[in-house]
Amino acid sequence: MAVKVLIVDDAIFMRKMLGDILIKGGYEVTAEAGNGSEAVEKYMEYNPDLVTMDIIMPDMSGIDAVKEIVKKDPEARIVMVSAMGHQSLVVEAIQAGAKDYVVKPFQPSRVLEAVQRVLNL
Amino acid sequence: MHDDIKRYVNLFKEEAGEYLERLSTLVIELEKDPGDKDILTEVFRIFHTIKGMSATLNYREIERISHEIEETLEKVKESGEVLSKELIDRVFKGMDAIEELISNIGKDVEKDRVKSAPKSPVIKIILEEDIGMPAARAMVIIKAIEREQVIEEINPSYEDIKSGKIEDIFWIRCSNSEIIKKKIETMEGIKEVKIIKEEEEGRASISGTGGIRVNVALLDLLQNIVGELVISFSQLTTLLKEDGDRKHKKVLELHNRSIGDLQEIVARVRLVPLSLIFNKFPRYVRDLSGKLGKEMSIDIHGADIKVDRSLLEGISDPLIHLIRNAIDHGIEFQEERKMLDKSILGKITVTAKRVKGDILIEINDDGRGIDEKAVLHRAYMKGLLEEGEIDSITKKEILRFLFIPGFTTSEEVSRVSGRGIGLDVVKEALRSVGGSVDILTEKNKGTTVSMKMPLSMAIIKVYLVGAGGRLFALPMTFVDETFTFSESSLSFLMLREVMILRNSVLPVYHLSDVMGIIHNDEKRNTNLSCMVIEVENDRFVLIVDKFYGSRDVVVKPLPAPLNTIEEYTGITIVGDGEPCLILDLPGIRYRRKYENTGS
Repeated sequence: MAVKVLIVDDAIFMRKMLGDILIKGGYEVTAEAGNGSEAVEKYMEYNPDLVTMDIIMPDMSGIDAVKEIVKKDPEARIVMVSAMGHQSLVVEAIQAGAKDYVVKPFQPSRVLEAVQRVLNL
Repeated sequence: MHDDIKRYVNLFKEEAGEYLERLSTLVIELEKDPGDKDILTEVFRIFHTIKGMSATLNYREIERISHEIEETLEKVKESGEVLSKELIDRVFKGMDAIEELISNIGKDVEKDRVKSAPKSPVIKIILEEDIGMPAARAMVIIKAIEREQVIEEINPSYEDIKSGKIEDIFWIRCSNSEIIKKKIETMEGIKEVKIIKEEEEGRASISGTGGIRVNVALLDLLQNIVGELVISFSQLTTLLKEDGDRKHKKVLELHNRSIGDLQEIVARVRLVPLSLIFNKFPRYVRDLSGKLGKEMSIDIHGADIKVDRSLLEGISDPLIHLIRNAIDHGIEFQEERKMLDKSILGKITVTAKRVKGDILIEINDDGRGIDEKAVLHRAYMKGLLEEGEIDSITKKEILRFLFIPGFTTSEEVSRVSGRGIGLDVVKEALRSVGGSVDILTEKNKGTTVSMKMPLSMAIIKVYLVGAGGRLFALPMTFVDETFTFSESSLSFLMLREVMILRNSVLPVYHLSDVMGIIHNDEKRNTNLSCMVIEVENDRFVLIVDKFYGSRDVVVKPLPAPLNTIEEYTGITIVGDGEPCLILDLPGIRYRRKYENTGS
């Protein structure tokens, strides 16, 4: 059975791109979310194996979403997807429980590597 | 656990050291006013604190001494008596003993540490250079390790990493290091993972993010190597320029910048504050003036200025020497001061400041000043000048005699002149660090000795000039300006060649004459390359054949027997690999002056 992934990003374009990369890599994109609170809801609803999480989003930030998800599921596997220069936010997200990160703009191989690393933990 | 104790020990040493320094000031104040209950209470309180601290760490001897002093002081406090001189001396002795015990602590702890139970090893982790977010990568690694192992120590600290203060290297201490190392190696963005053995660690401890302890000999070696690098680079530049290949230019520039940075960092690492010596002065003044039965205070300014540690070593004896002169020969006895209507309390002021690339240290006393007549008389008796010259000699020139080796002895002149012991020694010490010394004095007002020296001894800025077909380096410290002038602007005044420059008349010397090189008159240029040299507040014009510009050079001491030649302070290697002598401008000016006066 394919690994289920939840993609969280406020830009549709980014969700589409990430989705294509993951599907090509053999993963199943089970759900998408456009902000933090939606991400928490979708996580509870679909119980995915992995989440890719943008940081700066309306409504609820990616960091708060990580905190909420980890509170509900300490084993959650979350990969942050962040723009260059947001190091302190990424550090905060990792402290909050995210397992790894990918820097935007990304190479497809980078995304797949990070996802694989986190799944292997 | 061991790290904790070590941290406490360091904290104890640091804090106790601060207390001792504070005590030193307080007890000196207390001595001046033994009835001051507030100061007495504070001194008492500090000894009590030291006692408590030392007891906690089981330093029995420190505890015992501070307890004893505390008891004595308490008795004085309760009886309402005034602290006697004997008791104050005892307090000082106790402080000295504690200071020594504290300074020995570190050594014992280091030994204990080696003997103690082994600590977990340290894992050094180097990230890939082009890693985008090193802090985030480090955090991922730390979190991953934490899932399996307790991390005992991280450097930089967790907080620093959190706030992004990390380059591409960090260290962690944890057990099961081999397994952890293997795990880290499989992770993203790792360039190298290495387990550091304890003996290696001793040289570069990971604890304390502020810094590491480095062997001074290694620092000296490092500076030497940087020095060699500067020289060989300068040779390389010359070679490549001769070949005229423009492609090299960019690489050379980059290289030059890196070497410059390296040089600066090495220089910075070697800096220590003047306070290392200056802080000793109050106690020194107190002890010596007490012995002589004089009363005085000392003011210190600029103790936080940092200088190269070898420079500090070079000037510490002369400084102590000058302070002693001020106490012993400068400041008068109370009766004498009263008669002169001066404040009973003598005053010594030590001021350090940075002036351009140099450090200036002035030692001033408000004592009796130097009796110039006595100095002049002695110079005459020693045959240093002729009777006819006595009337025309300036005050400055008189004082200059004091720097002649063997000019004075304490028996003969110091009682009259107020100063003069060993000024030649001070001058020699300053010469060896590439500096100069000057003296100003006024009868019954006091004396000021100024010492000027470059920030660093090893690498200095020089101006390269040609004279008589040879190359010479002049320390920039003394070069005021350079310009070309037509020969017709030279004039003669009392049979001496002079130049009038912006309303001042400056004596003129030709470098080739000074160095005893016979120059060919046909070759002589009608346009003169002139340099204004300022030495010890005295200016003169030096004429050379050619300017080659300024550059940083590494000073090497002259090998024996050349080191006895007074015209040179050292030697350096310039671009083309040729050795070049560095001129001792204060010495040259001094000698020229008296040769001319004599003729």
